[in-house]
Amino acid sequence: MSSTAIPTARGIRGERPFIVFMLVPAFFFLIMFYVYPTLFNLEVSFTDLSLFGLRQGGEWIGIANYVELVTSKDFHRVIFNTVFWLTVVGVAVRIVLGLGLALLLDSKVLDKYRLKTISRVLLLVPWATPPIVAIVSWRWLLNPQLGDINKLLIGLGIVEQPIAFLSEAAWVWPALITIITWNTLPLVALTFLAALQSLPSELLEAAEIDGAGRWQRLRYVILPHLKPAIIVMTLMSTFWTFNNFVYVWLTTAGGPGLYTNVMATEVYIKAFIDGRMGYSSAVGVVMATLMVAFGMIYLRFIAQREFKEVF
Amino acid sequence: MTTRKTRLLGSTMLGAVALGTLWAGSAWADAEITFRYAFDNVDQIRAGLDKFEEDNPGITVNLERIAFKDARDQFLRETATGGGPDVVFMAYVWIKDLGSADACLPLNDLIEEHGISEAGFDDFIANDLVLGADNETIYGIPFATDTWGMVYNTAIMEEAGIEKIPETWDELLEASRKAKEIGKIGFGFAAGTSSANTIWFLANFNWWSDGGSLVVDDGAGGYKLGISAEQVASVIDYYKTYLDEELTTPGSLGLDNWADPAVMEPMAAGDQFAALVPVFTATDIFDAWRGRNPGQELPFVTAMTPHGSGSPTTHLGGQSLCINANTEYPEESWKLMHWLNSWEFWDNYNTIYYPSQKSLLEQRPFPEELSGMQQQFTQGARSWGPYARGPAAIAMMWNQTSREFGAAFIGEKSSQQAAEDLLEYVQGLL
Repeated sequence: MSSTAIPTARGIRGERPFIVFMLVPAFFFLIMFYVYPTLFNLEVSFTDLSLFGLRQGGEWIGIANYVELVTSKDFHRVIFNTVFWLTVVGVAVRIVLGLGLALLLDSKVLDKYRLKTISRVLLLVPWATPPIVAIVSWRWLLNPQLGDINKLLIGLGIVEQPIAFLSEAAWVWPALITIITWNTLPLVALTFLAALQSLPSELLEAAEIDGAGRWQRLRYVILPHLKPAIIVMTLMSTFWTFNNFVYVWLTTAGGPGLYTNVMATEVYIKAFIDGRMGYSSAVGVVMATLMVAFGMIYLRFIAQREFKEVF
Repeated sequence: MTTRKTRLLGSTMLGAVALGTLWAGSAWADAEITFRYAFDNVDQIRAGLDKFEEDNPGITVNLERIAFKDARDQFLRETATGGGPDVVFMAYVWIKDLGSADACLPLNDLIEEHGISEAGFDDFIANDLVLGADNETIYGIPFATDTWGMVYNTAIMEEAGIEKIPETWDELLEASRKAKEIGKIGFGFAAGTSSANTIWFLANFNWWSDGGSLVVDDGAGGYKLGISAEQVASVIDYYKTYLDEELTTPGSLGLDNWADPAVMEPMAAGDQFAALVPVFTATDIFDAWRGRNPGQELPFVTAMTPHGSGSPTTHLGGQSLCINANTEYPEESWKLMHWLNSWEFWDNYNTIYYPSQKSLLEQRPFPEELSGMQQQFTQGARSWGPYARGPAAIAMMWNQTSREFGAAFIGEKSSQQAAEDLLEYVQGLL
């Protein structure tokens, strides 16, 4: 039993002015740097504001930007790229590989060969590498003429001609997801590793005594234990990935053609290349709306989990 | 007592006036202006600015660098919030839009008061591109000029049995096939998609030389499309052939800069037959080759671009200078602009590029090894004209062209579909 006294409703009411006072700075910053820009962006999305007319302002055009966006074939492609390739495939690869890596790092094999510490340190290297450094390095590695990956593939006789990983339609998404995964996988793996280490060894021993094999232990003991971490990481990764601009822009700039153009790069292209701030804001609003949907799922999950933990 | 007080008050006021004058004087004397530049000969430019500071005590010039492709958008964002550098370096074709955005200071009064260069405003090439939408207000001064031309490797020509410099686009394609037969890259170019991609230029040079143009005057003060979807599709197919038959730079679709090392390095190493590049990039290729092969004869020749049913055509390109509309120092900025357009500056400091003034260009002819470029410049370079004057921002057409070409190159769309989509988009802008 906890000895902490639960405040009564009357007690909370008495503290209300103090609570409000303490929340004012946080609300101030939220309104200034989040609510106001969001509302401003929403307003801009109903105008034809141009990059070349920032001083003059835009004309109110109602929902024209949204109509154009919904009927644009290019935008359908952008949505598909963002949702399927970048988010679904990108996050799934990270979760599966992260899980595998965490299981490997937690295994007795690494312990046996005294590789546990070094492997964990090595795992941190990609995470500690700034995205821009990772992207530039990978671009060189994947370069068809000078890249080591092509040299290796040709040297091993796997391919005869170099592969233009970042410009051939068949390779560009796998290459892009490889770069994102390399840079962001460690966080996922370490999170799962931490969850794995909180698994009581007695549970695994009991399962083993009951005759559970490796697969059954994974299926019925380990995965259920990791489920909350997997759900949280999946949702968090979805947030980070869906919004991501840096990896796609610096690796392919959305090309070739529109093949890797995603919502975040579309916002940039429309605003700063086509100069259509109004349309770009509309894309941003759609993007934010989708994120809110994800956010509600996340919050619902967290709330449920906390409710279960408390009661 | 009253007299003493009056004296004290009087001397205090005098002191205040003197201090004020001194402060104002020091403020004038300490004008600090910023010049934002986007090319790589920064040391030369800095040396030129040092000389300007020496000749104009009290004016300090900070030199800022920016990637050329980011220069316009960054400046627009800054000026919209009252900031930005005092003098900027922009593409010719951006000035009209910057003027419309009130980002550049109108220069008519300054030109009227002080004049610009010895030969006046008419001495500047492509000066129509620095006018505002009213075709009267001058928002910039052309600074450097260039055009594009072909560079061919004569050693590869000889080895591959290419008997003459290709004169048509089809001959260039055939010659590239021959170059591939001896294990060389044919016509190397960057076909990637980005905000500063190359395919835009290649596309325009091709259809211009065949009588087409994305935007033309409609004869009634407006603008219309000057090319059919079939013509655009044939140009897409033309460049796609290089990609499909692997006659161009490997990974070309991932490259967006004409001077990408993947395109330039094989030229400098003697592994590539042809490139279509600006004048200064041709010079870079020659310098790189000479650095590796000292004392040897240059195995390159420059020539006009190939053509279709018309004549070889490239664009009269270049960069202009504009003064930030927010500047606190318009007079000092104007002084700097004057200096940057003087023959003394071009002759002693900015020696890599070519000035926009006809009178200065006469004093700096292209060297013999760039004779093909010279010919292109004098006989085959056109202004962007209706592209720049019309209502569609060139950047938008530029970007969409690369998107549609890219979509067709990777098979996401048919050439015909990509061409139709491009023209529909441009039509919508007009």
